[in-house]
Amino acid sequence: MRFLALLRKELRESLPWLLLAGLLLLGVGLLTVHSEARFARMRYQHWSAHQGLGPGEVVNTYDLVRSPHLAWVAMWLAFIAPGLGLVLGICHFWVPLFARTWSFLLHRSTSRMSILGAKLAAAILGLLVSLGLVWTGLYWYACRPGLLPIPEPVQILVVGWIYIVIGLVAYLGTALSALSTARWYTTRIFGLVFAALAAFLILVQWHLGWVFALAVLAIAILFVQTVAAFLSREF
Amino acid sequence: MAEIVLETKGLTKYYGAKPALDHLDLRVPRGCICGFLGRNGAGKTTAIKLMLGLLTPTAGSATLLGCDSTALTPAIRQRIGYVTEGHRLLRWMTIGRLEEFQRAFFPRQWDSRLFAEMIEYFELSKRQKIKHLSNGQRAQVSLALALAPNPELLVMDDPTLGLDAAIRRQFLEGMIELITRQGRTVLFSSHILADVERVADRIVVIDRGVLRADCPLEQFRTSVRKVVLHFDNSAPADVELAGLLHFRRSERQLELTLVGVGDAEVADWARQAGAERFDFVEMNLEDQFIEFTAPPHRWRLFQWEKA
Amino acid sequence: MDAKHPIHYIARAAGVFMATLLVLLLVAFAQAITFELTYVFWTATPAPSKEPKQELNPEQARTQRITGAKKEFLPDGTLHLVTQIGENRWQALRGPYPFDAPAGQEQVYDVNDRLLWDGPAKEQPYDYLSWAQDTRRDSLTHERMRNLQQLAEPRILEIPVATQEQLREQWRYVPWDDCFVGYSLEGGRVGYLSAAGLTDSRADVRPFGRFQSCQVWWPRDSHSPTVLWQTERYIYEINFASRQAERIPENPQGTIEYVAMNPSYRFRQADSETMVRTRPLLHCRTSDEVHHLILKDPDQTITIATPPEWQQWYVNHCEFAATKESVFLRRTWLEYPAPAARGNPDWWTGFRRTPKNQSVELYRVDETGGLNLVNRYSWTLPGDPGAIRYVESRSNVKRFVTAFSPPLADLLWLPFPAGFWQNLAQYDFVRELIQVVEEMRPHYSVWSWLVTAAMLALTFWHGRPRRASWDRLAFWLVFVALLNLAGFLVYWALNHTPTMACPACGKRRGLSRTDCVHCRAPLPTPEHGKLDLIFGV
Repeated sequence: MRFLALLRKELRESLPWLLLAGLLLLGVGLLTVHSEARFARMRYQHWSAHQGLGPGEVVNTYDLVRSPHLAWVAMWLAFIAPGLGLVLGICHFWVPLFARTWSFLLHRSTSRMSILGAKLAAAILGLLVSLGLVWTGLYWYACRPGLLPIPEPVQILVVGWIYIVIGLVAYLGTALSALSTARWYTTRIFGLVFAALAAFLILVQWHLGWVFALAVLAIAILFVQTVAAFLSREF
Repeated sequence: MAEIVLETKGLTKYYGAKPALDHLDLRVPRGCICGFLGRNGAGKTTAIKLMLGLLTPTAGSATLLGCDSTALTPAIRQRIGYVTEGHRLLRWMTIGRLEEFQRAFFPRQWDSRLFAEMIEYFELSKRQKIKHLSNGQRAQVSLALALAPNPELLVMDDPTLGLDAAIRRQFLEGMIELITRQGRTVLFSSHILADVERVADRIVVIDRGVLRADCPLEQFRTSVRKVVLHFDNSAPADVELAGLLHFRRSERQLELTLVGVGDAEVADWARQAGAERFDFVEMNLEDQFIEFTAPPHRWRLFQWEKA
Repeated sequence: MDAKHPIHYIARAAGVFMATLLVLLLVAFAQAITFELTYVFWTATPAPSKEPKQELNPEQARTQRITGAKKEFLPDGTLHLVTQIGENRWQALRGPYPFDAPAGQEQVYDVNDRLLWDGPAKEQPYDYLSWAQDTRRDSLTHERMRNLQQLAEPRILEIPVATQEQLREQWRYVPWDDCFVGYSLEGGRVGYLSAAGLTDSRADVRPFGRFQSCQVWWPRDSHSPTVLWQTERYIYEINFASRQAERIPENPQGTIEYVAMNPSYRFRQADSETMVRTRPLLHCRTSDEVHHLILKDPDQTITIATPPEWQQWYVNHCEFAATKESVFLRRTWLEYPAPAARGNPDWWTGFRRTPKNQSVELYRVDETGGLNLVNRYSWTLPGDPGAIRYVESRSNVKRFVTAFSPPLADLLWLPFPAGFWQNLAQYDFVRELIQVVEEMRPHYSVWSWLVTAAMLALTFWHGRPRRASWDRLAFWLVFVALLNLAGFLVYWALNHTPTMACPACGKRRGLSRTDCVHCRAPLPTPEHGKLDLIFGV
């Protein structure tokens, strides 16, 4: 009951940002899917044999390469997800610092681990629902027969989810920086910088195994430090 | 012997190389209303936060209700009410929502009727948002939230900070009513001595992180005294008297602030010094506190004579 | 919170790892910036020669012409030296030929320096052998395919199947399954095309293999492109219209390193006369230096194992051509031994300065892969006496900059032979990272030892009064000894605790423990005098 009360409180505090992110993604997604559907149908209807080349000519393979229709939406998600992670981290860990409500919160008759757990659960739930659910819904919608000529590849769905994982990395990096008691010009910024570095390394990968390994490693490193910092920090 | 609900042993906290709290030894018995006094930056809030486990001591320990402060269990925290400095609450919540939130942590001991009575007493509405409340109203809500679970130990960090006189009076009256009704142990810090005088039966004075007084209020009141000695001729330039805190000298007068010096000793010294007569000056708690915590042999603002 | 909770130790290790990684990157970045800026502003470049350009004597002009000419063979084995006027690389540097000569002009000489023809390239009358060209020039290579799959900007490869008027299907490459999946534009999935051919079910798919390159062209008899899909071990010719994937060659022993194709094989829009005289030819070379030729009209496969002594030379290039009558091998080689290790500046200097013998040979290839020499021509490449040694000034700056690099890198390189770590890396970015570490490591220099010693001294001076225990201080000293400047910065960032003078012994002590590390005296207690009113309960 205590954990639920904390979770409810964190979710309610984060609600405006979760709604904003989810609605933004949904709006951009629906607009893009419908305009891409129209464009794709036009492209396929106006087909010219050999695409303007003569028989026997070599095709420039880049003419055969295209971005998935949801790529534009994925690009938005690449900014929305880390942005939401950053904002949630600020809401959960920075705002109580400035508002000086940590003393009130920490004197709840529950362990610090529960308080931290509620914040993390709220962030994960928020990312999953406001972004993950919307993104998956958009993908399912785009793959419905009759909308796009050819269904979208599964890779683009996975790419979107990877961006959401990066959002979690951004959240943990923000939390760690907030909980650090060092100065900005020494190690306080390390949490954010490490999260940014991890995000960059994940994004330049092409092998899903490396993506998974890097994401797990980054989350593990940030998570244990966040937990230890929160459990031992002085407020 | 009274049960001790709050005890510190050599409780020390360093910030950098300077101690904010230096070897505090304190024992608060059950049922005691203890005023925790000190000037700005004396270490009151630091001490309270150390006791509640919000800070980690550099040395020493604190025990609340038999539990070490660095490992306060949820069960122990349920028995402690805490009013934070500045009454920092969750601004986006309404009073009703805040009650629901707080109640979740005290499922069995929450007194909804008491909370409702207090909100009514303070002329507040549960639909009001915290961010729309004034400082005084927020203080009232904080008190209600802290008292509704019926805690055994109530810790309040400067609960009347920023409140005007009328609201402060209202707050204190409410506090007195509820505290005396339930026989709780209360530790509250303040630098508004009139409030302390009204409520406390024991005081603890901290000065620059060091414990200076830990005694019943009455004992403090009777121990710190000011006496003015009148001389026909020139007053002595130097004063040697055990228990002397400060002295101020004019041509024919000496004003002595003394600690723990009896009437007879004063009379003896006055005679030896050649005073024509001496009078004790009436001091309130604030005057006594100021004199007690002022450092000796210091230039005073707008004074022409060095003490 | 109990200070001995396990999470704190794990978090501490994670914190040290994270800080070390970030600081190492920061130090490496600072080193690289210093290095590159110094190179930009301080590198010594040779002053341009003030001597007037001299006219080439006839012998020099002849050497230059021969060196720059294309060596083309007629089907009967005759060698011609073909010079392209206005495009000759040597002319651009110092040749006497007029620069304003119209482009596309050619001069054809024989091996006895007789001018056989001079005129526009298009009107040149000789019908030389047409050699198979490297397919990577026009194809999607391994690196580009990887870029397509990069998460930051994913893209998909789709091959259309169409009629004259209409697009009917799209075949999409799925990297995870390493196969193509076909979709009909009328709706629905057509099937999967993989190494197992066309299948209805994903479970029956067999991956093509590790992708190397892919080339696509429009065949004469179809409106759907044909794809040549090259993997490490096989080449597939995929026709999506007929939904077939033909695998060639059948049993290669090594991995495929080079693939070439002549225009006939692609039905390129080339001169039809040429196509009549040549046979479609696909050439691939495997890692065991065996050449596999796949010919058509009629279908034929020839395997050629070249003599092992050919591999000793720095340049040794084999190309193939096929007419209706014969199959030919053209070998171009330079009589200069290959270097033991790449990137050796001294080897390069020697290579450029030394005159070298270069040869071109024509062999006729029989059905069994045997080689019969038809013609050979050799000439001497003059050395360049002015070739300067590889830029020296960078090494001085590098010595300074790498003095701050971690000695740990040298320790990791020490037990292993040259190139060990590079060869271990399977991924390019890891290989590049290892290359950077190899370049920026201290290389056992005295300067780096001195800087490391200074860092150790600083660490000891800072850490001794603050130590919680000698064990921890020893750990940090070893840490700094291995990581030099980066190690000291990490130590200092994570251990910047305040100190105070101990009232008992007067020495500086940290506050991470309650007693003084030198004299074990506890923290000073305040004095309570008579003026204090302390009456406990």
